[in-house]
Amino acid sequence: NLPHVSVTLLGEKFSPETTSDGAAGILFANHNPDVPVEQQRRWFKSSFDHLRLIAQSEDAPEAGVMLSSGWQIFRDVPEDKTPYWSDLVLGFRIMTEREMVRFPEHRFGQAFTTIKCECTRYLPWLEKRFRRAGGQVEQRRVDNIQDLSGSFDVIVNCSGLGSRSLAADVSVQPVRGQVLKMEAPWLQHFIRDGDGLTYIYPGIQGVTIGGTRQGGDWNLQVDENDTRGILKLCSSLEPSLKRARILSSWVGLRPDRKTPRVEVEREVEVKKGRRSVIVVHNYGHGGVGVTFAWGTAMEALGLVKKSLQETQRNKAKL
Amino acid sequence: MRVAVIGAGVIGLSAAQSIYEQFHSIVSPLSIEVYADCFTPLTTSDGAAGLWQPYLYDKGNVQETKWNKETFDYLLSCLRSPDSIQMGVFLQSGYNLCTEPAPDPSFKDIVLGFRQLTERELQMFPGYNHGWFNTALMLEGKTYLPWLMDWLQKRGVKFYQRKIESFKELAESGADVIINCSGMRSGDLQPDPELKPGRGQIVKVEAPWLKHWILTHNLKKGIYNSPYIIPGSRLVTVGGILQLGNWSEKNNSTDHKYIWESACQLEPSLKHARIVEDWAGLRPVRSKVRLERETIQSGAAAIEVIHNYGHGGFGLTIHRGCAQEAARLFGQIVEQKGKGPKARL
Repeated sequence: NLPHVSVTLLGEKFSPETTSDGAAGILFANHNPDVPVEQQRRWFKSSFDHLRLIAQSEDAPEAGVMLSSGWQIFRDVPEDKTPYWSDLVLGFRIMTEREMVRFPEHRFGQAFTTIKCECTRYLPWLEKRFRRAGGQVEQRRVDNIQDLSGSFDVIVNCSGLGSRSLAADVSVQPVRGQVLKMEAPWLQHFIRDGDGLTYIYPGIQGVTIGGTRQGGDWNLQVDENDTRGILKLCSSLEPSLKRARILSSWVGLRPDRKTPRVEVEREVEVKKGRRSVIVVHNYGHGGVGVTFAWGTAMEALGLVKKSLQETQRNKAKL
Repeated sequence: MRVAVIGAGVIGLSAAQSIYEQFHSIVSPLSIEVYADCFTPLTTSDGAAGLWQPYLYDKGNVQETKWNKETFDYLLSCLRSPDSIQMGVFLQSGYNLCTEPAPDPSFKDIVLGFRQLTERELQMFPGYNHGWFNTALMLEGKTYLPWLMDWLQKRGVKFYQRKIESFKELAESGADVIINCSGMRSGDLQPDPELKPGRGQIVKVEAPWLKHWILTHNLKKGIYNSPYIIPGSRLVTVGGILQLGNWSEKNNSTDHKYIWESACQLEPSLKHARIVEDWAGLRPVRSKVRLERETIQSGAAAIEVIHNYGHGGFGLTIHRGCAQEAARLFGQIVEQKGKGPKARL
C-alpha cells in the first residue's frame, strides 16, 4: 500500500504468547452503543470479506482461517433480533422451532455462518507475508513512544493493554477471560449464548469453550472455579462435552475500552529543528480484536496515508 | 424362536437390534444369530462417509421417505443420550449445490433449518448457481457398527463369521426366520437382476478446518457422480463416483485423480491436505429397497425369509426405518406361528 515506506514490527511478545493466540477467533460482535453503527459495519465487513477470501483459498489451513456455522441462542427474546452484522455474515436467519428443541431453556435463536480465525496460525502466517514483503521484525519491549521518535516517522500503536502506559490511557482495562480447549472432534457447530458468557467454538484442533468476563481482573492464572463453571454451563448447552477430555486451559486479558481507539496523534518534537512524528493509535478492541483487526487496520492505514500526505504538503510549503 | 440374520453391516445389525427390542420380552426364548463373511471395519457401511442424506428426489417412493425420516428422528433423539459419542452420531451442516435451478429435495422437511443458498454463498462455488443449506446428521459406520455389535452382544446375540451359501443351509440348522441383510451379495443367495453394484471410490484426508459437507449434483450425470466433500469426526471423505455394474473393489488411480482434482477445484483449501487412504466399495443399488417377506418352499418345509437389502448409497440414512419395518414383518411371522403372547394359555 505504501511502497516507499519501510515498516518495522516491534513486539515484546509474539505468537503463541499474545492475547490473540488464546482467543477462539470467531468473527462476532455485540453492538457497541458508543461507536457509530456505520463504522462498526465497516470494520466488520472489512475483516469478514478479507478473511473469507483466505478461508476459500489454498492458504486456509496455514493461515488458520475457516468457515464456521452455528447458533446464537437467547433465554429471552432480544429486542434487537437482527444485529447490524446480520447481512455481513452468511446465511443469517432465525432458528426454527425444531432447532430450538435442543435448547429447552432458550426461547430464541439465530443461525448463521461466520469465520473462525485462529491466531496461533494466522499471526505466523501474517508475519511470514510481512517479512516476505520486506518488513522488519524486532523483538523488543517499548516503554515509551518517545524512545522511538528518533528512528521512525510514523508509529502505529497496537499495544492493547500496554497503552495504559504507552498512550497514558487508563481507560483501557483488563477484562479477564478464561477458556478451555476440549477434545470433541464430533462438534461441528458453534453455540453461543446471547449473554456472551457461554460459548462453544469448534476449531481446527480442539473446541474452545468459555468463558468469563471479569472486569479489572489482572489474574493470568487458571482458576479452578472458573473451570468448573465453564464446564457446567457449556455442558448444559452441549451435553456431549461432559464426556470430552480437557486438552488445555488458558487465561487472557481483553484490552477493554469504551470504544476501540483508532486515531492520529501528532507529536511535535522540538529538538534539532522541528521534527514531527505521527502516532496512529489502534488499540482497545476488547473481545473483538480478531473481529475488527483487519477493519481497524485498514482504517489505521488510511490515517497513516493521510498523515504522510499532510507531512509532504507541509514540507513543500517550507 | 431362532432368528438368523445374514449380514453384519448397518442393515443387518440394526435389524437384529429392532427385533430384539420389540420381541425379547414377547417371544421366549428368542435367540438371534448374525452370520456374515465380514464384520466392522471391513463392511460397506464402514467405508461410507456417514452423512444422513437420501437421494434428492424420492420419485414417489413415499415408503422410503418415511423410513428415512424415521431414521433421522431416531438419530436426532440419540444425540441427547449419553451414548451419542460411542454411537458416532453428531450434527453437521452443509451445502448441496446444483449447476442449474432444481426443485427442493424430498428431505427438506426432515432435516433442520433447510433453506435456499444466498447469492453470496453461491459466489463461493463458481459453476453452481443454485443450492440449499441445512443441518443434518452424521453417523460414522466405523463407530456405529462396533457400538451396535456391543449392544447386541450384551444382550446375548451371537456372531459367526461365515459366508452363508443358501437360505436352506440356515433353515436346516434350525433357524425359524432368516433376515436377509446381505447387501451387495444378496444375488449369491437368490438371483436378483435389479440388484447392481454402484461402485464408489473415496479418498480420506486430514482437513480438520472443514466443518461443512459440500455435495454437488449434476442431474445429468446422476447421483454420487459429482464431487462431494464430507468432513467426519477425524477425517474428511472426498468422493464423487458411482459406476453402475463395476464389481471392482480395488482403488483405481484414474478415479483417484478425478475425485481429487474436482474436489480441489470445489474446495481449494484441500490442496495441502494430507491424504490418508483410498477406499472403494460397492453400493448395493436397486430400483427400490427390497424389504418384504418371502416364504420359500424347501421340500415339505417352508422357510420364512425377510429380505432387507438394496439400500444403494443410503443404507445409513434409512437403516432404522427399515429395521423397524423388518421387525414389524417379523411380528407377522410370530403371530402366524402362534408364538405371540396370545399363544400362552
